[in-house]
Amino acid sequence: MTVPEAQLGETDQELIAAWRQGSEAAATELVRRHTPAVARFLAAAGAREDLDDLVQETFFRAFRKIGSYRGSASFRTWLVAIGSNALKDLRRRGRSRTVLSIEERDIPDAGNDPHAVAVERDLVARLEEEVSALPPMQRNVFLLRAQQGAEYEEIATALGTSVGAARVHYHQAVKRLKAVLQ
Amino acid sequence: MSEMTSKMDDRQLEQLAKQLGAKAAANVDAQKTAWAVLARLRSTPVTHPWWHRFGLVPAAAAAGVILAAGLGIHQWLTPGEALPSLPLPIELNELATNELTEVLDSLEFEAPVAELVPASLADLSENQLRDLLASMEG
Repeated sequence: MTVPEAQLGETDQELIAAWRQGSEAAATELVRRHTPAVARFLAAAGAREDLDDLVQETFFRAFRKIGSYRGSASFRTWLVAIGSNALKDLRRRGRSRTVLSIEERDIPDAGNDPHAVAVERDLVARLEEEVSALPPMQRNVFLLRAQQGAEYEEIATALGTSVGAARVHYHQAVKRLKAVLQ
Repeated sequence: MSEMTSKMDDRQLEQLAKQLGAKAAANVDAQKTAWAVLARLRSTPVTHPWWHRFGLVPAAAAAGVILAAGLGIHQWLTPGEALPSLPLPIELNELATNELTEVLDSLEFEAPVAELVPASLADLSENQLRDLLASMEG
């Protein structure tokens, strides 16, 4: 089905409503819009060689149970929570989690200063390792908050916990990460 | 290790966190992902458990209500006879606030120190303690 983009609507809610009516163009737009964020979350959580499969699985599960999406958290946060479960299922089956060489990691641009490049390279490598080693709830809360910029309220809704508990998890994660990075 | 790490604050950590996964994610093709997801949705029919198909869920719920009502009436008619207690596992819902705090303390849980968050476990409500414990179960 091909629907001109102008007819698709602009908000996630409109696209979701269109997908519920069977519009594949709306589903395509939702995937296009949210794939980068979902992929970044999954990669930061430790997915590597299965990243493509996990992103697909996340959207497949989301579209299948779109009826359970109530809109109390943003669609992106809801997707990320589904992705986290897909990753957990994959790990339970004993797949994923590849240790990368330092060249493969996500290295920030530190300019031309070789010392700064080396320091940041090491820092990001260690951060990535430590984030993927956090307890699942701490990791999810930390990434949703620090990487995705979600508010505690929607994090709590998406992960099925309270705002207070989400704050505790976040600060526990930050404390632990700072301790290992300093 | 360096000036950067020794002075690292929450904002710097968040800045670094924003860059995590960016390189790997850049290799994921959103359009191809969409095609693959839609193809899978088309080829995988929605399935429900067999008991859904035969409408057994409402029947089971009705049977449960009838059974519970029967037990209630039985207790009401024979007040002297208490039902034997079952050796149920302890659920988080059954724990009081002090018990929940105790469990978390036993896990060597450290309370956060930031100003905007509760200063200790004792500052969390019973529901928050319960949520926290439940989430720590994985």
